[in-house]
Amino acid sequence: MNLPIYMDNASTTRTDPRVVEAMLPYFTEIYGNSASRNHAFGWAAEAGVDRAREQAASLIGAGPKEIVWTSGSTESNNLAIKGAAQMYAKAPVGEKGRGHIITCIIEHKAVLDPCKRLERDGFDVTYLEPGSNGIVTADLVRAAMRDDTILVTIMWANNEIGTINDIRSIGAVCREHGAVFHTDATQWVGKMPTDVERDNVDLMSWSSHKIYGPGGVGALYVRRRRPRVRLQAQLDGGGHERGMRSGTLNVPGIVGFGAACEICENEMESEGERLLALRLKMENELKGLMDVVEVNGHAEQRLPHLTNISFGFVEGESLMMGIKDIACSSGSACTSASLEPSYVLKGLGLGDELAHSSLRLSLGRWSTEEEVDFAIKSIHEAVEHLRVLSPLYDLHNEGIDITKIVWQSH
Amino acid sequence: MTIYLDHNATTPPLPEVIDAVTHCLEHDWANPSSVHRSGVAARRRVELARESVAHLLGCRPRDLLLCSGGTEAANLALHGSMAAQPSKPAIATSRLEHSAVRDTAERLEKKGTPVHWVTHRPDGVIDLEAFESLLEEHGESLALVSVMWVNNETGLIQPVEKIGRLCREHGVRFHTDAVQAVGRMPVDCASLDVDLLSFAAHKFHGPKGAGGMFVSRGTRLEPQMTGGSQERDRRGGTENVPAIVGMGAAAAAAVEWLKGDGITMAETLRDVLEQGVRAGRPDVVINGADAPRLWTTSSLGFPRLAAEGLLLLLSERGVFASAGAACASGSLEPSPVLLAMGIPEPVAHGSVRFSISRTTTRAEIDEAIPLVVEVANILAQQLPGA
Repeated sequence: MNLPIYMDNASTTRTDPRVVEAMLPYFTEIYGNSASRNHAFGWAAEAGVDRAREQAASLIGAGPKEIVWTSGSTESNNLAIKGAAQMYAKAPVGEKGRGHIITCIIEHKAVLDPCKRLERDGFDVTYLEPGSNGIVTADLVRAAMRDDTILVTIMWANNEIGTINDIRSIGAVCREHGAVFHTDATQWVGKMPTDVERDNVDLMSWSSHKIYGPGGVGALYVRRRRPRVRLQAQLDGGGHERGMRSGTLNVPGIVGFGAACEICENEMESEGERLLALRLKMENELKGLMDVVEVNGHAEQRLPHLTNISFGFVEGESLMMGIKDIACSSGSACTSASLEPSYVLKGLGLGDELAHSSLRLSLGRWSTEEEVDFAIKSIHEAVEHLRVLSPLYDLHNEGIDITKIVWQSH
Repeated sequence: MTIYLDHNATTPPLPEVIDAVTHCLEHDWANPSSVHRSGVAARRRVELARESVAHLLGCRPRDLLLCSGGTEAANLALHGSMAAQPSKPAIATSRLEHSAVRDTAERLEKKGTPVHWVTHRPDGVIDLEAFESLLEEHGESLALVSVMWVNNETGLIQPVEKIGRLCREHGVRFHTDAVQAVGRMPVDCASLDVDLLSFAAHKFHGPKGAGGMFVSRGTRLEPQMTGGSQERDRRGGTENVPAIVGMGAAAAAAVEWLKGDGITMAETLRDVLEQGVRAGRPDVVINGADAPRLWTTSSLGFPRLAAEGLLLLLSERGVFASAGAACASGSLEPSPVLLAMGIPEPVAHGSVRFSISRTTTRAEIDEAIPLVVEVANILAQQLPGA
């Protein structure tokens, strides 16, 4: 076993060596610009891109023409949300009442920030609050629907706690109301079976580097029929990707993304079962070894490979220092450099203390039982060590409910 | 045998670039925003690459905004500048721009933004006197002037030093699309009056999917891609670590290449190609020949012939070139850029862009010349009256 062990697969995944292999020829012999229509270098590059488009489409039950390549999920989300809102706006720029959008307070920033931008641009946005289990249900969405709702954007699985939302029924509610439905499926696709037809999805974002492909590539699924969804492009210049996303295609990255999609399609079922067993072992043993250990979010409706655990009476940053040999995160990677407690955990109603003392552990293709055993042991030792230093934990052990204490400043 | 003469579309990545990318994919693949050791290692690679690119551009590493490529950078320059300066509702640019700027400006114009189209002299160079009058008349309303440094279709070099100075004098922000310039000629942001300068790695033997923009100190941009605090809150999204690291390696190689006599040798290659083709086909027109041109590009006009036919026959013989921008290839319309330069339609319609890079060899050029002449002769014989 090599140290440090990697348990941060929700942040990014190692590129699968089979993916790297698939990419290499596109750096060396097949380096053409896929938009070059006049020669074999361009055609060969385009053929690679076309094959990847089929691989990506097959993974999600879509047609190849419904895939738009982007630089990653953040761009896909921006294009889907701003592109759909601008296309279906009910009033021109500069006016109020341009339309209503529904999202949720525990979405990734790549969804929340574009929604905030649209709010400034004259759209109304409702931010659903999922409650302590973190699940967004179809009923929550239905209750928020208005006559002028043009877009609903709800993530498929949460990046910090791994909870899974009721996407198929939310999609059905959107159909009933004629609203476009976008889902940020960055943590879901490639890990869990996806069928955009069955699941009533209109727009869906996902990213290569979360599914063992290279960084810098993502995709947006854009429904072409029943109903056809149109988008206002966010990048102009060249008319690539049927006018929806201009810019020279990252051919090797796209080829690698396609290969990663195909591997996931073939292996996700057995991989999911294996990782579920490891994740349950980790959660159960940690809970068995210590008290005041909480797994955050819904107990069953969650991704197999990801867990978010709060360890009471322990400060998250100190805990991270105590388990230096485990690469994991306390809060999502985009905000993990800040010391603010996670807004997602706070959104579930967790107090600052528990939100501060949580770890996100996410397993992946190369996680082993030996690594899980090592992680359990390291975390157990580190938490025990920190609790010995904690006067609050002493009070807790004496049966005092510290949430009831009124602290005096002095 | 294949002779690739389409380096303005994209360039082959150098072996050291491929090594750097592969190493990154295999080892430093973590998310650079993660605080654990693997994340910090990836962050270090990104920042070293940023230093290397900064060295190539003559700027500070912190002045660089890294993104997915030239198109994203140009879009951010235009949209981001307009949104950051709400009191300045207009922009100015030229009809000779790459579509990343031209299409974006046209889209803005369609939606009501006043766009002032900068005029140029018959040789294709921006008319500086007219430009100065434009600044005097409309300068206060301009959120941005955007003029490309080196044209992708003709290699024509615009006087960005002078354009920048005029903009500075009139207090107007200046963006230059330097995608075709960076790594191929000296670029020194510190000595230029430029506020924004965009570039793409795959045009200087780096990987596709990485590029960026020099953003001078104090130049505010409203981010266009939001959702993460990367790139100092100006461009959300997990960094494309392998491509950025590959871009760093490509930048280091370009710095070394620029120190030598590579440019002189490349100019010779271009001249050999042009003279060789003209020796066989004296009617060939070199588009933009009256203006300063970069060594990378020969836009050759074959009067009355069709570029599509030439390219097809060349492709059959293993010579790969294009009719204009790669993005527009496949279209049968003559290039709008050539037409805007005042090149007559029969010449524009028969114009082929041959573009070379520092990996092009004399042997390739020597082999290509007779093939180019041969296919032009074949097509010319099929013309009515031939």
